[in-house]
Amino acid sequence: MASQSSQGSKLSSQEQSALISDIVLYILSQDHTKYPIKRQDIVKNVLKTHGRHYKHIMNEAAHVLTEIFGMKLVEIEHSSNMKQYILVNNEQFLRDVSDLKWPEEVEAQQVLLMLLLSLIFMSGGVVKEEVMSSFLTRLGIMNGRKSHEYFGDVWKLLTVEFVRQMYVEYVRIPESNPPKYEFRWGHRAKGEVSRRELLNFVSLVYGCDPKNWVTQYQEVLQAESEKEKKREEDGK
Amino acid sequence: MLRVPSNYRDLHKRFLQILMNRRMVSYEDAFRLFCKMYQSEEPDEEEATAGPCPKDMELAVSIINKVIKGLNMEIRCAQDEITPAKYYLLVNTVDSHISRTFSKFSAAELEFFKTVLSEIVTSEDGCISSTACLNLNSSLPGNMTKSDTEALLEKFCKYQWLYQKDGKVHLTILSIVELEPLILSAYEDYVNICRLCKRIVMQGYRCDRCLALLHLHCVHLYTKGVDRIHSCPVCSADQPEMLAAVKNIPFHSGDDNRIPSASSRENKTGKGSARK
Repeated sequence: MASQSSQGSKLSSQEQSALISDIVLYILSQDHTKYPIKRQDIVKNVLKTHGRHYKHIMNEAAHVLTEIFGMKLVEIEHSSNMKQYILVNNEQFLRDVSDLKWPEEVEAQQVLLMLLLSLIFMSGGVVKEEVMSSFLTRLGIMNGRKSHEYFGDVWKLLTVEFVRQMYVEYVRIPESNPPKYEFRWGHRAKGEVSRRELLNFVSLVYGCDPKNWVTQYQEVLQAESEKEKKREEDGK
Repeated sequence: MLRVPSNYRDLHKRFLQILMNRRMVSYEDAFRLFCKMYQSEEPDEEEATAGPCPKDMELAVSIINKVIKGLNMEIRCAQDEITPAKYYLLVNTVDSHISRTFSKFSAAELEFFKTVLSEIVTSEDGCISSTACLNLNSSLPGNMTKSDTEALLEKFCKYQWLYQKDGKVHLTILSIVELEPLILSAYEDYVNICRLCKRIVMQGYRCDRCLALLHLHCVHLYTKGVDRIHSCPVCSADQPEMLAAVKNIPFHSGDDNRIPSASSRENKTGKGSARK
């Protein structure tokens, strides 16, 4: 069957839906790593000889992921010849996160991630690495490069794992010499993490009203209206 | 182009996501989650204060099932063989090379599972001792040590393919339901079919004459009628033991097996009629 259709240019609708559902299953099966999915891997593992139908099939698969599972397949610009995607969950759905079950190490990472994203958010969107490490040291989460018994190798998580998962960006400050780095929110965090929830969390810690953080509160409202606008555009 | 019915909403997507993450959720837990989501999704509903009833959840599940059918997924409701608890299970209805190749387990690990499965299915009691299970490493290619095997067994338990209790390894209800087609075709001569519900049974009540194996929850339904039948449904031998076998199992009162949690629905009828 495969050889036939690679010669012919058209796929039967059955072949097409089989490929779409295979791609959806493949993308979902990779989701637990949170790593970007490369175009070449999708072709190699699923489409195989049907590579020429890539664009059409991927559009349909993205549609299925949104309409059935409520997740968005976002294309990430990496370099011109390497397309990759991340699967971003609906930020509203993360309310259910306490009802989901993850392995213990993943739960630890989620806690760490919330702290780090909160710090970046409250600091106006960017945090220098030395500020980050002193913050985590003060919280007793980091102690030099010693592995923490609950969180593990914190610095490696921050600068390698979370970067790869696109929760944070860890980039060199231009023209710094010796090179210095800073943290920002990554692509996935922007799509998936609710700023309002974060601000509520921080306010709870400080025992104050979220509206007292004027700048951050404005940002919450702005991000929400942007997302609302985007949703309406998508819905059309 | 895929078309999703208009009554498939965020509520359904969230419920599906939870099941995809947990694979196996008890009926009570599922209902608690459903109520929580229902209230946050439909705050405008006039009856929101009354809350949904289990029937609403079952309706939602059937809507989800229609939508995910094309992906060969299904949410099934099944009853555990030992504790009679009901579960919602998210199963793949077709063994696809995608889910097999890109699972959380390596080929060697899946090979180990296959061996364990075979031992359990061909065993007399529908389970094997943990020690026997750990000794299976010797029959496998590769150099798996005892502690590797132990860690692997734990991994399969964590992902709810297997579970361990009192030194025995059992298949979870998730595995039984999902692997039913495979077990039926590969172990035709070993597998037991409960004569009361016509589904696969690994552990239950065994007739001491014809050796037919029946689910305890099926036996419970079968014997609970007014005349308290206690003859084997297969060979008609008198089985007074049958009544004793299900006596101490905490079945829900008013449980009718086909419609889950009929009892909790009855409790809600007052509210239900008020909604009309």
